[in-house]
Amino acid sequence: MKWLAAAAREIAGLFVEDVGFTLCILAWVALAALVLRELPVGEPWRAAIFLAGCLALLVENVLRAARKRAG
Amino acid sequence: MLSLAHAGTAIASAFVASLVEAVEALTIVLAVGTVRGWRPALAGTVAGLAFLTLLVLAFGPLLARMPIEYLQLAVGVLLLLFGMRWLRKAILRAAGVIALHDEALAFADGCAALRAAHPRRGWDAIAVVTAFKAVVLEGLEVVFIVLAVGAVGGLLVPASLGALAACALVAIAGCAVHRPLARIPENTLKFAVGVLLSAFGAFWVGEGLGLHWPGDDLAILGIAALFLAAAAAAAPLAREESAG
Repeated sequence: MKWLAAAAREIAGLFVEDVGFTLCILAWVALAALVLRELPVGEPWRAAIFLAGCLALLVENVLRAARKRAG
Repeated sequence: MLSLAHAGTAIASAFVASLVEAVEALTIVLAVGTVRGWRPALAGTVAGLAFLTLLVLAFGPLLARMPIEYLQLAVGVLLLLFGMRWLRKAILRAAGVIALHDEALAFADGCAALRAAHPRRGWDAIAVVTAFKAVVLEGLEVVFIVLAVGAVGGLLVPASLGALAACALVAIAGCAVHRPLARIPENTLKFAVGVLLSAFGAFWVGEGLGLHWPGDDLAILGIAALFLAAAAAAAPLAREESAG
């Protein structure tokens, strides 16, 4: 059973390193699924808003991790 | 019909990711071969490669049977998590916030651990298992990438060939120099793969959610360019933040 738990940890580790970052991405995808289709904007803007959210999450998390190391 | 931009990006992702992971696996296999002998090192490597091939053969056709809209969303989310994790780590390494991966140090550590392990008697199980684990653990990421970019785009064979070509290249280089490939710009490659996989992830999630990307498949190149620009801008900012 120990090797099974280790294998599960390895597979989870492919997608999760910073739990907060992973949860933020999942939350953003969920929010996009629920809200973006309803927004009163043109079609390409919905995709652009989704992408902008992903980029903002990445930059914010990187800067937070850097500040954490410094402090 | 998939565009050249889509297929080319998928194959390039599999090739470069495989290159990075194969270099890391080679370091451990070389340590096993140097300290415990080449027969168990090769036996573990071949067993690991066979296991990874089985995973692709088992899961590839299964994924291809899933309804495309669910597959796009599921694979897109996983690619987004996987790609952004790689990209985040590569940015933090480029900014000097976390240390770069050092193949020479990994080789020295691997050799020291293998020398300290039980002396070999007959069948050297420690050596075989160490080589097998190195190949499987590093290869799992490649298998995921091949399955993800291959299954959704119907590119399983070209993506697999891209990954195999990278493995062959690293194996040939490893045999030629007989030491870890420490000069490979690993973080730059990880940065590039992180950008490509994040772009794929965002694209497929958008498709799965029914969002319309301008330019259709060509949008992947634009998304990748924006991820690259954001990551390139974030690295110096992170360096400043970590400096205080």
